[in-house]
Amino acid sequence: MVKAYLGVDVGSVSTNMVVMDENEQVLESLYIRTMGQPVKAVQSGLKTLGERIGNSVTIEGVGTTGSARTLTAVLVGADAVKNEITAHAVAVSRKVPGAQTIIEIGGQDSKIIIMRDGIVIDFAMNTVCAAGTGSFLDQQAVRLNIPIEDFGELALKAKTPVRIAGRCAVFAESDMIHKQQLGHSTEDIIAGLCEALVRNYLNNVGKGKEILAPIVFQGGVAANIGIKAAFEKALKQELTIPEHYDVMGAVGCCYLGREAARNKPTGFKGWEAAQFHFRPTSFECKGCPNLCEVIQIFENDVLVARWGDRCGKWSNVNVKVG
Amino acid sequence: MLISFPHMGKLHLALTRTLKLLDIPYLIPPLPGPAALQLGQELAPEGSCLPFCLVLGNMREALNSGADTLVMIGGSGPCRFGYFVYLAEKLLVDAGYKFRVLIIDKGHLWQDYSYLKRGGGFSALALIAAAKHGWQLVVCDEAISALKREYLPRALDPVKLNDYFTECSEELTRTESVAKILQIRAKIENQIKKTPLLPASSVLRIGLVGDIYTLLEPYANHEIEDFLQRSGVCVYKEMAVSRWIPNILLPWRKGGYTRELLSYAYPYLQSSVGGFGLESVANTRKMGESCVDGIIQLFPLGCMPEIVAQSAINRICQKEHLPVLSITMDQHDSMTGFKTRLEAFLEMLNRQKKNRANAIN
Repeated sequence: MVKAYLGVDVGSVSTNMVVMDENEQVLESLYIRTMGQPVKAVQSGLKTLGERIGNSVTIEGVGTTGSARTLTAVLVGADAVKNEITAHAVAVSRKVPGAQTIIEIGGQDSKIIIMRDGIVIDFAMNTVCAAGTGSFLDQQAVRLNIPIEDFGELALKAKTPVRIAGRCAVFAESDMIHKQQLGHSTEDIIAGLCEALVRNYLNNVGKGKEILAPIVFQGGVAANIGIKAAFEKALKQELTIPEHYDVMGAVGCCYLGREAARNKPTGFKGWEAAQFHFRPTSFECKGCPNLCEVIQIFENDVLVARWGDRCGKWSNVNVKVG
Repeated sequence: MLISFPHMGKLHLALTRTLKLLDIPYLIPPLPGPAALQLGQELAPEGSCLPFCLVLGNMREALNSGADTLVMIGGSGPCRFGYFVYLAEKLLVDAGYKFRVLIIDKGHLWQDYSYLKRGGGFSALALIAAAKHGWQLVVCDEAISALKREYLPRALDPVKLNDYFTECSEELTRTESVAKILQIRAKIENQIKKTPLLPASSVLRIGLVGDIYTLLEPYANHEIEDFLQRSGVCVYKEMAVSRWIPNILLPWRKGGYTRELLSYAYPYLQSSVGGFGLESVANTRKMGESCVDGIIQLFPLGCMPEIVAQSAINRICQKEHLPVLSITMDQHDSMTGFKTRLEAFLEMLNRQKKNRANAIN
């Protein structure tokens, strides 16, 4: 049996899982579509990983990140629950030493992380607009009836990329439709879209940030060579895409899990947690005008976690709902 | 006559105390929350900022519970905020509400007084005395909150200190004279001096800047202060009802106030840009130089003055190596994204702090 660490990153679009050994080698990685069902996604991931390498490794530490990190932590028994910025930065500082800028574009979040000497000195995330993120690209690919995997290839074939508004996903879409009706080629429209999204990212998330090389580009959208090319054109720099670009958050979680479980036994529930019966319920607390929506998680009919309350009075699972 | 008002931070303390002393019946609306937001959105123009929706909704809540007179601060001009009351009045009248608005602003005070007097029958002197009394209450309450934000995370025995603060706040609501209010404040300041504290450099210190409503109303800022306090962070905030109102009501205070702000904001911002833009820039610089490890700027989506301030703050961030996190607040109900950004910011500040400490050793 080899000692190993498990990292889980559950985002809006994908659920990523990585098992890394003590020598920081990635043994297995999974990229599953979340499909709005984080519990199911995590459990199916656990099942697959358990079948593939469950008999050859013992998990010594677990970390979770992503927008469903708290929920996931309960499902797998995590030792570290961290935000995505930290997870991505940790992964890059180990996998691409010397990196000074990280561009990360995921399903609904896009972020820029500025690092100097291996530590984060500044970062920004999109707050109110999701234009330019993976789910928008997904949508447009479906609308144009092109597999998302071919999106980038097509963009590179463009001769004269069209101009498209990148400020807002809805406006970008109507611009695209209009350009289509005028008769522009699909390639030119896709390339134009890539450039618009990059422009939006740099003007919005990247505004006022000192973007220095080496620049690392990661997240699901890094698979899109059209976007990569558009970034390189705008920044006049080459971008580094790390080997595990699509699961870097989960890689970072392996390191964070290892760190957190250094001097104590791991809370990992085992691969068999894939079979556990998890049932989330919710209620509206009427204790004050905040009207918090409180979530409760039952594991095999035992209440194991509760959150969503701003004041924290329900966070103790022993409190009875009256 | 049944007077009510939309909430903004602790302003209700001053208003209710004043009205109580004058024996005028009043009604405190529920604190702003999802219900106020929904009521506000129904009437507010598309694209209105979050504070406007909340204030408007809160006014409707007050009127729905039977109030017939609304008191609100005017301040004509700092931003849309100054016109809130005029716009809100029109929208509410159009929606069929029957009520009267009393505006606290230059040029309205005499009218307000004569209206109140008709109902109550008190002298101008009694009104001034009552307003001063109510005013002291909010000044004192805000001073206590500031001490709590700044010292509680540093206390060796935070539970004991917290209990003491709670006890004093309760005592404050029962006070009957200005002298008693001042006494409580002095008592707390003394107590802080006696409390064993961790050195200021051992904890993270964060300064909050942004527009007044977002900073003062917990629902509008996702209760950021509680979150930071639970994370063991000392919070500094220059914005307060008690610091802002005198500068809009008393003409002789205005010049000095603006000059002081400009002295901090220069050379990043050389004039007022409306709203609280100048305050945000000046306070970023002021707190950055004196006490904090990082700044968080909070503002509602579409707030033009804060967007201008953001560019200036960004330059301060780079030139003076002061970490800044800017967050746009809108009608997000989920806290996840907000917490992610805050956690990441705290984590970054902690790591930087550790690195600096290692470099010194």
